[in-house]
Amino acid sequence: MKKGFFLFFWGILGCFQNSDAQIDTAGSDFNLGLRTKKYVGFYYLNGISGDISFKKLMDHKLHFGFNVASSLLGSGLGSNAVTATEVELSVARYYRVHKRLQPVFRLNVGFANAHYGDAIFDDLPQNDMLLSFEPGLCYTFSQKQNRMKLLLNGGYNFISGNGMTGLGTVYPVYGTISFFWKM
Amino acid sequence: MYFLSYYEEFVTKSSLRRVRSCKSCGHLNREVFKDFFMFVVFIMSLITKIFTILAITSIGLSSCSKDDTPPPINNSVDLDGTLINDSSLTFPEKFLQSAANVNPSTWDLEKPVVISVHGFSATTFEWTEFREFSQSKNSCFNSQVLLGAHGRDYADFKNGTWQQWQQPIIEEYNKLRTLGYKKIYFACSSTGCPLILDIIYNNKINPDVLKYIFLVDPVVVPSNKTMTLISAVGPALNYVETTMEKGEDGFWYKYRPYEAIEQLNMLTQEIRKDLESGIALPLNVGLTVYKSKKDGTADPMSAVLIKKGLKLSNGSDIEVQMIDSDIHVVTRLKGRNVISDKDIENQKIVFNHIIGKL
Repeated sequence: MKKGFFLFFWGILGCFQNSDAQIDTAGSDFNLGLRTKKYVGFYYLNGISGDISFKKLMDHKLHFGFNVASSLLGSGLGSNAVTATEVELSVARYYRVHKRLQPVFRLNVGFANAHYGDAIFDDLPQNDMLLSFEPGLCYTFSQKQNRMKLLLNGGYNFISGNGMTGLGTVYPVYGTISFFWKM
Repeated sequence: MYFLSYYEEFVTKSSLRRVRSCKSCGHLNREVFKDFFMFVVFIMSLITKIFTILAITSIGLSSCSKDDTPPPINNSVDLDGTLINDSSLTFPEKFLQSAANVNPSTWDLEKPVVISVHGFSATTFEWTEFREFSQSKNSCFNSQVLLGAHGRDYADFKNGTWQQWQQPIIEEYNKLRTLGYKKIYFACSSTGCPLILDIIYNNKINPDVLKYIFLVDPVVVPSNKTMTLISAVGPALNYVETTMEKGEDGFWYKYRPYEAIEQLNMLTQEIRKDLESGIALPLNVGLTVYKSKKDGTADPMSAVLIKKGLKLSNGSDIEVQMIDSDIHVVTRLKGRNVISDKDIENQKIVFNHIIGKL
């Protein structure tokens, strides 16, 4: 079932293949897409991600974005996994923005929530702050059209649960794949 | 920079080929397809190179690591040494009911037997206080099982697998069952808990005489989240030294080889996935989890995962008691530097609850 969902999840991208909208090469670029996050040794979290950049602001080299991902759409799908949701705001520095392969350094801040589903766990931490750093690579599929891009990141959470404080669903090391479509 | 220049070279060659072969092709779909194909080929090529570099790096790291350097074991003090072993290896009849009484009477066979299972790097010492408590109440027989590859020396601990840790639990249960005991209980702490859950999930015992399972501070999610990286960083670390409390010398391993931590990581990952899939207890077998609300070894979320993933045979919820404590394994107080009145009270509550269920 999970594999089927992932195929569906990424298959949505196929809907965009025939789109032929005009490209805004000046002004601002707004990208929206799907994001998969996998903690090393823990859950998959799936959700959406978006970012915006401006020509006037460092020539599209600085991106401001957001991520919303939940295990409900990942490891928790059809399983007994804890529902963990993460919401982040991000700022990213892109390099070589006129090339197809662009190194990216991204800083995220946000919060994580875990839903335990039983009142006896009310004393456990259910919310925590997120602060993470993600180096990665962005690939733009078509330089001419510049509509689709794939972002591969490794990530490190500076705050993670340790059993005494913090949320147990937040692990330190993770990887992400984001597929963006320029709106 | 190497990757970027490599990619540039790759793209330049590919673009030239594309321009030559498809000058009039302006359709978005075809271009996107070609780009995507080129991207896949590039990524594959890149991955090959990354793996090559990683392989060379890991070989280099391995050769630089202190893998062959043994830890500075003090043989006269540390369990890790060759002089001190767990007492159950020398005197099994004092620890295992199956060895203590090979010809049980009918009355004996009706009396409950609690098989107690200790945690990672520990020994039978972890359940000694329960043994003393239950004997004072004359409520049950005790079998304090020593996990496989534990209680011996560092090399044994290093070379053991989690399946080997599990084996003595199965053997003791089967011996007691063969002798005719009709009421067998498991009391497990820490790593003993995922071991028993695996036994249940994979039907490694016949549960016809199993009555109840007690899990004390089970580890499903470790508090130290970096444990999941042990396979990557372990070869460079070789072992992890533990700070022992005043009465723990000789009863716990002081030096934890990364291979053993790797096994623990594999076990907890396996059980977490089993719980996500769902585990049903055998017919008429109950289970209670006792979990500290703060625990620097087993993340309290372990209790959440067990509650969600483990059900009684009729589909009902298991019992979970969250304990207002910040120590790992609330039932073991001996050997700790500081013991509060609250800790003593918690221990007594759990012991009485267990005895009440027999």
